Formats: sequence, structure tokens, C-alpha cells
Amino acid sequence: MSRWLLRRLAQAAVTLAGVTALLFLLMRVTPGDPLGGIAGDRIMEPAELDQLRAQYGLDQPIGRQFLTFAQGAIRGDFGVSIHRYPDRVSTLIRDRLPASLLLGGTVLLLNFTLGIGLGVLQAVRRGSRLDRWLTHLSLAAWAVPSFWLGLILVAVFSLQLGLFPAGNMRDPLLAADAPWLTRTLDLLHHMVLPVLTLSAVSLAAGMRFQRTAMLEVMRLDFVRAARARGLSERRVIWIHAWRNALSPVVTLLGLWLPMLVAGSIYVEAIFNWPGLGSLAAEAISGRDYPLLLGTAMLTSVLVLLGSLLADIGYRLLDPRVRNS
Amino acid sequence: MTLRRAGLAVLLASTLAPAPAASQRGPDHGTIVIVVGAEATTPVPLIPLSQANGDVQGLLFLRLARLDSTRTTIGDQAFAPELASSWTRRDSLTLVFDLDPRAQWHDGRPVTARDVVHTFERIRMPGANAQTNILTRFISSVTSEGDRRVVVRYSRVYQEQFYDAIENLTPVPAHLVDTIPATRYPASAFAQAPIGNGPYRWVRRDAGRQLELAGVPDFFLGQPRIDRVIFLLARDPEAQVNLLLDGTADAIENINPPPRVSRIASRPTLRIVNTPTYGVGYLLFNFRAYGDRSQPHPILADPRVRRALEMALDRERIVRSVLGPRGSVPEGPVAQLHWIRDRAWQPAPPNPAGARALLREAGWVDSNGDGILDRNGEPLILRLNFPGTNAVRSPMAAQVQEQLRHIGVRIELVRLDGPVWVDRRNKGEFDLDFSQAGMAPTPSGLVQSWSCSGRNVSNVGHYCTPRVDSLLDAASSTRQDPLPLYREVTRQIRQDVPAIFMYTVTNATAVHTRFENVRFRPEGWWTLLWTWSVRPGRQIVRDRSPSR
Repeated sequence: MSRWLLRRLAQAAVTLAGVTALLFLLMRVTPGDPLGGIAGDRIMEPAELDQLRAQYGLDQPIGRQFLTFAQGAIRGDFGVSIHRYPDRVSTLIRDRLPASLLLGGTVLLLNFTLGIGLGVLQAVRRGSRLDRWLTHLSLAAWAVPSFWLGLILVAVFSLQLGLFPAGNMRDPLLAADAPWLTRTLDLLHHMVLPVLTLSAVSLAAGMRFQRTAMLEVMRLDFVRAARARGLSERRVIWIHAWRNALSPVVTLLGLWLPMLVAGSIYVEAIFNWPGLGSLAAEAISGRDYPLLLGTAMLTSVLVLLGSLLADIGYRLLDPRVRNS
Repeated sequence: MTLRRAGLAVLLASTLAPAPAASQRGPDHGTIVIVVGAEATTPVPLIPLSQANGDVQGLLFLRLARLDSTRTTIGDQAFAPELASSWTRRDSLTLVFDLDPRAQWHDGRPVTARDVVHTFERIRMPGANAQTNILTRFISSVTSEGDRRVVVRYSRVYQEQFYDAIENLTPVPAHLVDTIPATRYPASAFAQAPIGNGPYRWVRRDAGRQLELAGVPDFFLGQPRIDRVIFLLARDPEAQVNLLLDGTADAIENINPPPRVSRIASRPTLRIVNTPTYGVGYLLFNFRAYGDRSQPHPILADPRVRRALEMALDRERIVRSVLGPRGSVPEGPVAQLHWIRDRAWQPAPPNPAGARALLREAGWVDSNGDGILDRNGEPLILRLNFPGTNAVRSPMAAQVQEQLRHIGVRIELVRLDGPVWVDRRNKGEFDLDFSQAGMAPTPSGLVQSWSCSGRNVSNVGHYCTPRVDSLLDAASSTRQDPLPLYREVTRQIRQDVPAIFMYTVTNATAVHTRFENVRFRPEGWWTLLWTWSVRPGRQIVRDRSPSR
């Protein structure tokens, strides 16, 4: 296992280096001047532009720019944001990461508890009225674009009924030193609509995946054998069938992990959620190279990590994978 | 909103610090939450201003004086005191400012002449911002005479000496910044948490979320009634409006175009304040070939074509349909607030027949009956670049395309991402470019965009008429009233049609109705915030919570 893990980590490191180099080059060939929109409508004097190019190292040959970036990136320093000068990219990412982890983590947790639970329930009660209703609901939720759902939720629950805030992660007037309970309740209050929006689609996916996987497994001989041995239905489902139906969900986990930080750009925009998704969107629209590279690298790391965790999950769940 | 407020009020009331007594915050005091689309990261003088930095800087730092309501930038009289309580002219090259002895930095130190002198020295330091250096090029020295008197000397006589001094010499505290090298100034701790001398002091910035300022109770021009200001960052325009509608925020600076305005205006707790601006939108013609500045433009170098395009457009209709009552057709590169504006000027009515005749005269006819004019087998097709996300220019570009189609001109709309649009504009990769200029109050800025010397800099269309250059030169150096000269510049530009001037814009700012004495200054949008107050009996919870 440890040798396999080391090999996978080495592969991941090489992939990350390749992706970084590719991203760096792609950014430089993408049309658009990162200093273009920095002064708004004002057209900058050449002397001013030269000064800014020197300030951000954009006047250097591309090879040297990459070298400088790579040296910094190894230390976790991605340089200074162009549009948010003098904020450092690593600081911006560090500031935004908790918001993304909180939102993405809550959604992930909901998927893996409620999504799996409902998926299993549907499979166990296949063909029942509950199964049919949940199927319709999950298909409907899956079909709804999350940005549209977000706008509808804001219009109804915030602007019409006034039950939840239309956006933000916390009340802007809440003191930083307010009691812990106040801050927590305020946070939860602000989380309801974005979590609901993001969960609706992914929860539906989780339910569908789990239901299908369970149905396939429950037809197999070993489940029948377990029942024949007189095991309780709960034990048959959760110990024998569910464990074997987890592989597709583990794959889904690998795919969902990057969502923890990248989140949903649209949903973050609608709810003014200060996460990494909106930071990445801002970097893309402004051609903020350092910020874009920083957020893209973080997403790459999470994609690789998700894939690695999924592989580890397979090995733990399925001895055949381990022995192959 | 009521349910949420009620629930949350109970929760917060039980956990917040004890409510302040009325003596702490008067009955007309309050808090304002302003939604902004961009973040102020370095709101200090001597760094090129983004609008976000400018909004905050205007509350933290005072100038020596400011433009009065006439907004005239010439002479020494059309200005109101700020840090300088008075000024005199020693001779045609020397101005003397006397600082108000009550002015203080937020750390309690007095504002002195040394601060102004140091500010000028900092502008001239190697590595300082190039733009500010250029803008102060005619100021030869700034010296002090005692603690309160500042002497500004100029290298030439011109009408805007006073304006140049107040616009570019916003003092910074010498005792705090004199050891910071110019190259490190933008990233310094001072630039990120400034100590100013204005009606508000810095409290904190949560990067990417919000920025907070607090009123200075002993501000020498008067105590701010709005004593807590929060700039809440929301980049998405819909999210901005939603935050206003659900009561999280109290104000948004600009909510054009009209559909958003009417959505907000329907709320009884909000009102719209219309304020003219220095913005002008125009369709800029490229006098040089697309992407090749060594060649004249094969179509647009001909003034008859440019004039025909202008004549064909019903600009008033376009502006009305997109901006409603908050837009008007400008006389040239002159905004609503410019003192050189000719208020009697009226746009000529559209004349498609005349436009067709002019194009025919220039050799453009529809020889193959396909509805598009052509000359020597080449169709009259022009590419119009514009920033695709702009809510004003996008719909206007579509209408321009449609109206010009009727005279046989095909406009290809090139909708671009912001940085790509700027890049192409600077490289001359356009036939027509839908630009918008947020202009300075001074008309001397016309040199940058409309003179021969401005080519390769701001004059990206490469328009060049020696008469305009000499008129601008005369206007900037005359000792007489330069107004007739500037009007002549505008007339000449209109005659040459280097651009079709489409619209000037009035900002629609949404503000909660509980505030009174609500006024804006287009040169610094929120700088009058300290003169606002809350209407008696209209305070809400946030107005009564403790200020910091």
C-alpha cells in the first residue's frame, strides 16, 4: 500500500507540475491585457503602463516569469494580485478558503448523509410511492440549473417572505467580537439559501447514483445468501449490500472534492458568498494572472487529491482492487 | 423582511453589547451600508485612483480646496476651502495657501505645511507614480513658510494652476510616510490602513468582504452625523440590488440602466437620487487601418463616411430607450458637468437620406442589390468592438447596428471580454470602438484623447487636426477666458467627426429614505456623506447600535 501510495503521489506531483506549466502558458497566449482594465475607463499613459508592468514582473521574458512563479509556488507564494494590489494571492486564498470549505463541506456532508440515505431507502422500497416521489423530485432537482434555483430562492424566501438574507456570509454590521452563539446563528442563517441551492442538484445526483448501485447489488447472489442465512434485513442492507454499492459513490466523492473550494461561481455570485469560486471568476474576468494561477493550482491539487482519495477508497472497499 | 428582522432582532438583542445611550449617538446619527462593486485596497493619495479607492479616499483625506458648485477649473476663485482656509496669489507664477489651524491627522498631529511639501517631494521621488508626476509637471516647487503657509510655484503661466495644485497635491502625513520609499509606498502598511485628515477614519478592511470607516467626532469642519460607514463588496449587479432590497444595505452608487432603477424605485423605503456625471459614451472611429497604424483606414479615413454614419443615427432615440431620462446626447467630448458645456446646443435630427447621399458621393452604392453598400467590389462592413458585459453599451450597439443597416452599412458587433476589449482598443484593432470616458473636471484632458500629441497614448483612434491642437494649446495658456477657445475645439471636433458622441449619463443612486440632506459630488461621490443625517424619528436598529 505504501509503495503504491508513494507512486501515486509522485504521479500527482508530476501531473501538477505539467498542469501548472500548461496553465501558465495558456494564460499568456489568451487574449487580453491584465493591466487593461486596471484604470477603468481611463486610458493609461505608456510611462504608467511600463511602471506597472515592471511592478508585476510582466516586463520580464516569459521564461523568467515562469521561473519566478514556480519558485514562489513551491513555497506557497503565488505573488501579488494585479487587481487587488498589494494583496498577496496566498493571503487572498487563505482568507477565502474557510468560506468555500464551509459551504462546500456542508453540501458534501448533506450529500453523503441525506443523499446516500435516501438513495438506499429508495432502493430498498423500490417501486413504492415514496420511491416514485423521490425519483420525480430528484430528477426535477437535477434538471434545474443551480443559478436559476438560487435566483428563485432569493426572490421568494428573501425578497418576498423575508425569511433569509439575500446574500453575504454574515451580517455586515455584526461585530467581530460578538458572542460565539450570535455569530454562529448568523452564519447558519446566511448559509441556508446557498446550501439549499447547491445541495439540490448534487443531492439528487447522489440519490440517483446510490439507488442504482444498491439495486444492482441487491440482485446479486451474496445478498440472497445473506438473507437465506437469516440475517436481519438491516444487517443485509447496511453491512452486506451497501458496502458493495459504495464504489460509484466513492467515485462521485472524488469528483465532488474540487467543488469544496471551486464551489459554484454562479451560486457564489448570486449570494455574494466570499468563496474561492467568485475569486476565481474575478481573476478570469480581469486576467489577473497570479490570482488565476493560484486558484487554478488549488483546484488542480483538489482534483488530484479527489482522484487519489477515490482510489484509496476503492482499495479499502474492494479487496479485488487491492490485490490486482 | 419583517419576519427575518424580527427573529434576528431578538437574537441579536440578547447577545449584542448593551445598546448605547442616546448621548452616545444622537437622534440624527446613523450607520450606512453602501454596496460597491469593487474593493478599495489602497485608498490613499499619490496612487492612481480606481473608483473604489477614490470613494474611500475622499472620506479619509481632504484636499487643500475643492471645486465649488460651478465646477470651473480656471482661475483661483471658484473653489471652496478644505485644508486651506484661504489662499492668495503672489504673482502669476506663485500661489500661497494658508492651512486651517484646526486641521488634524487622525492620530492627533496637526496638518502642517511640511505635509504638503513632503507630498510634492514624494511625487518627484524616483519610482513614484508616473501619472501624478505628469499631472504636476508645471509645478516647479512647493515650499513652506512656517507651519501653516504653503507656497506653490509654477514653471509657466496658465489658467488651471490652482486646480492642478488642489487636484494633485492631496497631503499625506509626512511624519508617517517620510521613511517609506516611493516604490514601497503602494504596498506599505500606511496605504492599507491609512491615517487621514478627513471626516472619517479607518477602522478595518475584511479583504473581499467589506471595509469600515468611523466618523471623526471632532472633525474641524463639523461632526459627521453618519458616524459609521460600511462599504460592502458585491460584484454581481443582481446581488447588489438584492442586498439593497432585503435591507442589508442602504445605498448603491449607480444602478443604471432603467429596469434596475424601477425595481428599486418601487420600494417605499428607498429613493433614487439623480446626479449628473463626467461620463461620456462615444463610438470612436479608427483613422488607421484595423491593426495596422501605418496605413489610413480604407473606409473611415474619409470624413464623408464618418459624417454619414453620424447623420444616420437617431441618437436621442437610442439614448432614451437605454438610459431613459438619465441620458442625453452630448455636443462632443464634453460631459454634463463640464463648465465648457454649451447648454444651448441641440443635436441635429437624424437624416438617413442625407447620409445615403453623402455615402453615394463617397462612392458607396449598392451595386449588387444585396442591401449592403459597396465600392470597387468591397462591401461597407465595419466591426464595432464593445465590452459585452456593459449594460448600457451592449443594447446601444445593437441599435446602432440596426439603424445603420437601413442605410446599407453592415456593422459586425464584436462583443468582447473587458481586458480583451481594452487590449484591442490600445492596439488599434477596431473599426469602431464603443468607448466611455469618465472624464476629469478639467477640459485640458481633451489634449490626451483628441490631439495629435495624444496619438499612441489616449488618442487610440489616431484623430489628428492641427487646428484642434493649436486651439487646445491656446486655451491652456491664454490669460483671457479660455471658454470661447474650448467651445471652438468642440465645434472643430464635431465638424471632423472623429467619433459619434452618443450619451452623457446621469447616475441613479439608490439611498434609504431615512437619510436627509443627501447630496453627492461627482468629483468624489461620497465626500459629502459627513453632512448627511438621519431624519428625526427614522432611526433603525443599526443607527442606534454603538459606533466604534
